[in-house]
Amino acid sequence: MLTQIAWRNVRANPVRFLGTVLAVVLATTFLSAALTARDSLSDSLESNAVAALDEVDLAVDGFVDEDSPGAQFESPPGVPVDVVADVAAVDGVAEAIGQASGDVELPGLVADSPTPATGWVVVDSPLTPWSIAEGRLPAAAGEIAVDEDTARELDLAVGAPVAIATISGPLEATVVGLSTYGDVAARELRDVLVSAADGDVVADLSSSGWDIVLVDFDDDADIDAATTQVDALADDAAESLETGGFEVLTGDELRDREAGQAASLASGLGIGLQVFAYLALVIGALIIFNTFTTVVAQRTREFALLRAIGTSARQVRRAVRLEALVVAVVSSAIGTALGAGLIALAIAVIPAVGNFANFSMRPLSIVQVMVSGIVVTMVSAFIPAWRASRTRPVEAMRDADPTVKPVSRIRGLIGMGAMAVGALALAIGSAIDNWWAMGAGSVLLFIGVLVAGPTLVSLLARVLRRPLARLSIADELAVAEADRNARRTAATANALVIGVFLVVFATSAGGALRDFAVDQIGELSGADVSVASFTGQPLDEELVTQVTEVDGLVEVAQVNSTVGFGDLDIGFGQQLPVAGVDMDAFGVLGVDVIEGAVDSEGLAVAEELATGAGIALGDIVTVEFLNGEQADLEVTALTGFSFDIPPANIDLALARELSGDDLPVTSLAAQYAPDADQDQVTADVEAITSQYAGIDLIDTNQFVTLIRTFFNFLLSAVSALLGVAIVIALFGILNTLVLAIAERTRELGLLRSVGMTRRQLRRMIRTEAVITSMVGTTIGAVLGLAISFAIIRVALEGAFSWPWLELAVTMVAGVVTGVVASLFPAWRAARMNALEAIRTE
Amino acid sequence: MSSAPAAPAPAASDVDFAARCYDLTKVYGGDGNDVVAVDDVTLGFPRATFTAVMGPSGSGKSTLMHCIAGLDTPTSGRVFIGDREITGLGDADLTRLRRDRLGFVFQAFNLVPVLTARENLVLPAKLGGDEPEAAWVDEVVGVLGLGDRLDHRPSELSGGQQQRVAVGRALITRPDLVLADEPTGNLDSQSSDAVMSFLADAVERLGQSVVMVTHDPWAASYSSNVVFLRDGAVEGELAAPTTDGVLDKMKNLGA
Repeated sequence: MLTQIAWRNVRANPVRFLGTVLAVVLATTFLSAALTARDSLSDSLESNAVAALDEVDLAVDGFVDEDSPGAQFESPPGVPVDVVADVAAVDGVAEAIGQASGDVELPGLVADSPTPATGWVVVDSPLTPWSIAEGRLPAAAGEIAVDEDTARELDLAVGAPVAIATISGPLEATVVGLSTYGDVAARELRDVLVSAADGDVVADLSSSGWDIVLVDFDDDADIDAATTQVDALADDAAESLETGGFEVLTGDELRDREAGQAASLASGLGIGLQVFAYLALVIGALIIFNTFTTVVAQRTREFALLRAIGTSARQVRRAVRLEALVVAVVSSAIGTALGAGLIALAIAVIPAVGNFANFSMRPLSIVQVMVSGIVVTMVSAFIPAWRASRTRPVEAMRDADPTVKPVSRIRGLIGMGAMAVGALALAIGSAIDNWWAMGAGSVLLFIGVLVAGPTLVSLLARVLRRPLARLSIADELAVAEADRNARRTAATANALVIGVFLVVFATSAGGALRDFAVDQIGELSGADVSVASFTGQPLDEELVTQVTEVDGLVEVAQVNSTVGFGDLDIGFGQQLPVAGVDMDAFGVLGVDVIEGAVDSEGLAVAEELATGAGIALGDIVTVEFLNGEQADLEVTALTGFSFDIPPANIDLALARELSGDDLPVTSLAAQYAPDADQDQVTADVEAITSQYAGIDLIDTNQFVTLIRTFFNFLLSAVSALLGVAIVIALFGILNTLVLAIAERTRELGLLRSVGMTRRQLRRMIRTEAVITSMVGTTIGAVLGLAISFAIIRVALEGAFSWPWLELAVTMVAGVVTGVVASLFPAWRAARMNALEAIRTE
Repeated sequence: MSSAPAAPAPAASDVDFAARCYDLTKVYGGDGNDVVAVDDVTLGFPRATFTAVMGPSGSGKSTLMHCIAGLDTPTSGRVFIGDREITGLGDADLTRLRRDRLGFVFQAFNLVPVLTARENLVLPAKLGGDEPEAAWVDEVVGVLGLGDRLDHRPSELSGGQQQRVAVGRALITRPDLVLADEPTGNLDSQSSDAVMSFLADAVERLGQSVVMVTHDPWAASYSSNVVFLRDGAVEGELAAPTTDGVLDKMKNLGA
């Protein structure tokens, strides 16, 4: 019976649950999309890794000594080219091939904006993970294959000539084939395959070796014996290495590792997105709670009647929970389907996504979304259901409006008290650099605001009433209504408080961080022109020669960004990274020498770092080079920080001599000749660097712009993800208005009958929505600013930049949110027949 | 049966009536189970008089009033407020008409809970964007006799006080016609007396025109003329009614 009542209630008043359904649907859609994206990515990458490597029985791969000083700066050693032939010659080995990669750039669709891709050196063999969809694998110098999606994107066909840039310069090539990898087009974002003949050009093969060697055994091979022999070859090869070594993996181990890497990449992405999705769900929970609280209050008489005729409190509780369950299941199911649909659409429509992922949603993900949606809804409806069951039968006879609960004075006082103490703790914590006080203060401030919400709304409404009354009677009635049900207004605004707080906090703290970083970089001294790769790959010798010879540049300094590490702890357990530079050209780098003098025999250390590590001029620092050689060096100069080089430097020639290692050049720094045409010089250098993949001409301003762009992108992305929370809050306002209108039908009918026009009625509802959204936006923004200001003050030593623009956008967005949220309710209310309204009992 | 109000001259320029209707019919439903709520009624309510409309439940008295007030659309016939025909007007015009030329008193829920008594009183004028005429407001307030309770919210007033404020609100725009729908339906006899006296005062002292729907013979005795309805049609009238006279008439109607 009660089941029937619950079901009919939901069916008879679907609009009552509109906001709840929208909130749950949106939050679960987000979650579902996040999980589907993860599943699709993970499953595609995994199955590709496994499918592409299915012929591999054994693999030889390089590894880094985890405990070597600069482990995180080093890449694993490549397998020397001749080792492949030795492995292939082992008894029982059918075939052994190497695989290597390097950055390449394909010409873009637009001139001067190249398309980055990964160049793979492949050998035509069943072991090769790539397949050919059209044409053939490259076999000779100047032949390439391009993944089929990229080929389509860039309009490249088999037979087309194409000029690509590689790490060692330009390569005039011809497309001989279109490739696929496993089930998808490309292994990375875009693949370019070349033959071993171009190995040196694309991947520096002769000196760097293969990234990995793949082995296929004969069907009748003695696998143990063959493996032992390959092990021995790997050990021999490792003998000649200064650091790291080679490991031998079985095919299954390799496939597991590749699949694992794919899975962990995808799950990292999944976790990041889920954080935002669950945040959205929590805000949705507030709205669900608010809706059920309101609905239960509106139905007090119904529950009282049920209780009066003998329904038990438990039965009433169950009936309300059942309603919540219906809403939860329906909304979560819609959300699950929508989220999956969105990802399917993205894969189908966006080439960059479709390139490497196929749609997939695991059953467990469906379960996770459904359970999350249902649990959040049921938990949110818990207290309202309990309240419904506490309805006393006599209330069926009461005349008082059960939907309006007076604002508790004690609650207001407690909330205001918590706000005051929290704000004080935050301010003091910020002043004395105490993170605990700041954390506790922030939490207390937040809780205080939520507790004091109704009181704050009431106060604000009283302040606003007079000015709004002067505007129009509709506005006055709106503010009076917001005040009358201040508890509900506050509860509705809370969702927005949290959403806006998150956005403002992220943008203002992130913006401060961005401006701080940009400022610091701007203050660093630097060369006029520098040439480097962002991945730290060595510069081609030809490139170095060409840049050095450019007219209009003086003193081109050669830099190796990390030649070794000094035995000093510079914090976080890191050792002092040491760079090799032309000490003769040190001045070119624009580094100030604060104390001592740079010379080609000593170590120059940034003063701040030296002070931090407790060393002074004349101290001896032991430097361990990357190849393990060690040398004691005297600190002969204390310098400022520079943008172009690490904070500790020795002469590059000295480093080569002491380490016995032919350390490559990783970047160049130069200054313009006094009479040079700077634009011309820049253009000349650019003409050279554009021939090389991954190598860029950087000037300080460009770098600052890049940092700024990067931060802005990050901030926009985070704001967009958090924006979902604000949209959910919008549904909350919409829902509250719809419920309030249903509840005030008679009042609205009365207003209409005494001459309120439809326009005035709409205005009244719009104003109420805007008041609610402004309360939420203002409180959220103030909280976000206060807390981020306090934190940034301590973290960045006061370098807080007020995000005026973002703030203005947020406030405008708040008003717009209110207006948008009121559209449907206002339309509904205005459409209402005044006569029917006053007849409604 | 007095004939003047029941058979008004059909000229549109006739301004002796606060409201008139001609051949007014309202049919509810459709698909073969029509209910004729008002059946071909022609009536006039003279200015500065107090008319009561009576009849048993289902006699169509409320529907008649709603049609005259422009709250409901008649199926056929014409309705005039003063010299203005309201049949066929759109929502915006009807709203303005209700605001400026009609006053309403309902059985219950007459006041906006968030406004004080005084604010409720001047609400129609405020909705029209006008400042109410101060002298007139003072006069209405004087007759209202609410004293210092004017600045209280409706929830702090008694039922009778609330209804008096509602009557005051209905008068505030000096409407052509005040329509009252069972204004004492929810009140005890003492409060009812205060509200009815106030309505009668409005007619006598302020010269307003009032039409009241009621089924309470005692309330009807405050009026100057009673119109009886039965099955949607006019069944007779009674001038200068007394409670007993009305009761007799009702018995004859078989109510």
